[in-house]
Amino acid sequence: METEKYSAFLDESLYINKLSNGLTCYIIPKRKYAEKQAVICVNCGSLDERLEIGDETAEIPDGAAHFLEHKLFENETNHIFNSFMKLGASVNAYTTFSSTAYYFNCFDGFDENLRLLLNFTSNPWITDENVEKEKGIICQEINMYRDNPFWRVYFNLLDAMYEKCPVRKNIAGSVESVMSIDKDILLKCFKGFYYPGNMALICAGDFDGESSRQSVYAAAETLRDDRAAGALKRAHGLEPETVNRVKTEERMSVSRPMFNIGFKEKVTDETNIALRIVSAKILMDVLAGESSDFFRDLYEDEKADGPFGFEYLSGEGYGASVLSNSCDNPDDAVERIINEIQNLKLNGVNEDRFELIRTKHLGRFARSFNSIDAITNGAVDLFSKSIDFFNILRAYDECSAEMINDRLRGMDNYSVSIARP
Amino acid sequence: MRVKTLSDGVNVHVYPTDKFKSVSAAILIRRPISRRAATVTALSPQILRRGSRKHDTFININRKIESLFGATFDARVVKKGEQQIIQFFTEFSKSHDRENVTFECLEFLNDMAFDPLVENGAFLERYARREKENLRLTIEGLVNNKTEYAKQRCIEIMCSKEPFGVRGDGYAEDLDDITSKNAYEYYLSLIKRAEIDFVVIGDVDAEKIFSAINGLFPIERDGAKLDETEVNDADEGLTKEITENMGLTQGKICAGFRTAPSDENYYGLLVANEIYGGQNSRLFNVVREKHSLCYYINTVSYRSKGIILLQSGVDAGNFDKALELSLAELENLTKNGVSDEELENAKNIIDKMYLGVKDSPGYLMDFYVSQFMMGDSDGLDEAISKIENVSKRDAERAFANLRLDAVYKLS
Repeated sequence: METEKYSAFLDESLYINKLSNGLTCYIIPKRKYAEKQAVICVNCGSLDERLEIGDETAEIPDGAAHFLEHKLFENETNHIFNSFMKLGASVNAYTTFSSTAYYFNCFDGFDENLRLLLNFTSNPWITDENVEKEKGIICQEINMYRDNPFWRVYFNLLDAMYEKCPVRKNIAGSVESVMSIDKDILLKCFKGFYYPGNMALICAGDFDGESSRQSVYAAAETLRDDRAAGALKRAHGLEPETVNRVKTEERMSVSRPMFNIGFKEKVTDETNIALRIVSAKILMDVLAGESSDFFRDLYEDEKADGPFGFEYLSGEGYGASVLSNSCDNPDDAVERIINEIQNLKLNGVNEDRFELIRTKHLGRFARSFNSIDAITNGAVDLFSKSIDFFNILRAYDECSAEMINDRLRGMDNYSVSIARP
Repeated sequence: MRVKTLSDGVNVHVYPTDKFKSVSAAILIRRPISRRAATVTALSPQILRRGSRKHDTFININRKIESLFGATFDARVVKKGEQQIIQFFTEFSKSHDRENVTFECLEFLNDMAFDPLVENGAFLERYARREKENLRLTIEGLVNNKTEYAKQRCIEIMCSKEPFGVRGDGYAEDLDDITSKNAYEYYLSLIKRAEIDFVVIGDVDAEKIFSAINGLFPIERDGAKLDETEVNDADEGLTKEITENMGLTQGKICAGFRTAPSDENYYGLLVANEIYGGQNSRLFNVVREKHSLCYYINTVSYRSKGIILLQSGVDAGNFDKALELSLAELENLTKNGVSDEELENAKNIIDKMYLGVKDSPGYLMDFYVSQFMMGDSDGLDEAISKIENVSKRDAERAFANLRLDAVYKLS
């Protein structure tokens, strides 16, 4: 049954409908927008290392979810790009730690494009030959990222923070793991993960009135739920609370030392993930954002080349706040960040400053609804965490300076990753 | 888009729409790019963004914009075609107090651009020193992004005698000669002579914006022109090739093609570029799908120069093979032409790209800035109809005119 959530603050609606085949549909209407986008999102990503179907257990090689994403783009006769192109649409996909998302953008003929999307994501055409052919392409994709120092510093950090949790591994796998992937394992993954109960359909654009939403639901109802649902288990229980290694360094072809510092959190099942996301973003900005005294001093003393990059990494069973920058002597910068955290722990966060930063983030969250891509990307990420935009909105209301102080007290476990020229 | 001229070379462009949750506003200070002034031009916005007379520190600037419901602010330099543009940008949420907030944001932007923090007839020494250092890091940091670096090197090799080959971020070796005083004096003369554009996109009343900016804009223009004329279109008629080694896992290749410099067949070139190196192009299907040599291969066209750049990441051992396949495909297109289906698909993709521009304040800004820079008064709908009118012959003519000018390989 369809339910509508509406926010007067955002002036946006979200329609949610869990269909009888198990598929969850989200529709976000954007009046006057020319473009429409639909995404099929599958809870299948690089975190999935094992698959259990009935009594059978299969170990999944690193990079299999991403490999499968590539392979679904081919059918018996051509590349799926061509089929969408003929309908005047463009199509693409991406794989993250926790999901695989396939999407198209179009201006007209939405229904026909939607049928095509539903069709190609449920009918794999995987052969020994086309699996072999794809390996060369994927290895080039992996090598492309290997030459990206920002990417490498980040994944070195994840590897330092985590010992067991597969979030420490590259999403596309390694050249070795990709070479070991075959048709059978890809088909097993498909069978185990790609069933409507493990998927969502997310649509954004000018869906004018109920009839256009009903036709989305009708098309999505045709997905058959006849696959053996895997008892999907992501093995997180074993991850220790402390970091794997405190420091990791690598020499790279960079002009200046770059560094990431990541604060690993203890995450329990009861932790409210929306509140974790919102409070982490506010915390990092309060700590080292451009309006902080701390950042000004660091910048003046040439311990930060520019504004910090902030990222909050989160999912089922893991969470970490990551700050990134570059400077001559990253060890000094790290030491000052740690001191500033101690300082904030002692004195507490200034209430006015917290409120200013909270309002700033809320304003930016609202503005993200300007962009159809930002809306659907956000929805995919939130679906993998079993929440939606309204949980985020509520978290902005609930978040308080006291919560930030609380979180600061837990920031003891950190790793540092450095790239040196 | 509504346009009003404030004075010679100073224009206000307003695109009223209630579709977005935000209002975007920019001030652009544009000049022909030149080797001599590139570095000091690039440095200016970095110093200016540190503080104005009214908002004199990072902290005061950021607290000001945070108080405007999380508005964003940025000042930077961009190179577009053969122009170097200093760009001040803000985006802020629509709110109940819309008119006041809009005015406050415009006033803030105007302060940042035209009312700098000055002491003894110079930029603040402390800011200038730190920002010179920072610009040096930015210039040296180009090497951190290998794809971008390869592109920049290819353009440099190709256009070594043309303004298009000048780097938008400037040159580290120029920095020693720049002082807080000569940088300030340069900036003062620049804002009296450069083309200046105000652009506002969002839920605003154009007349009110015109009159607000008219009241804010403080600069007395001196009517003189910037004195830069450099050699243009130094096509040497030969193919230059350079290989450099950086110990990469994956090699980068960048090839530059020239076509007739005239703008007359621009839309034909756009369609030809899409067929050759666009989303589902000849290159994608041959070099990636058929030969599994790469993950990405694409081409981009530069309107103001009639240049196309091809970029790909391949194993260094496959450089020659990838290039041969790419050139063979170009020859194939020149000799055998394009199919009806290819033409229609390519036109369709470009049409949709233009349609998508209407859904994004950022793309709208970019599109209209390109248009007025090129002196092209067409709006989006006119551009779309011109794409629809591109014939097979137009696309084929563009292919026939393409000539390989430079190849840069990074391994």
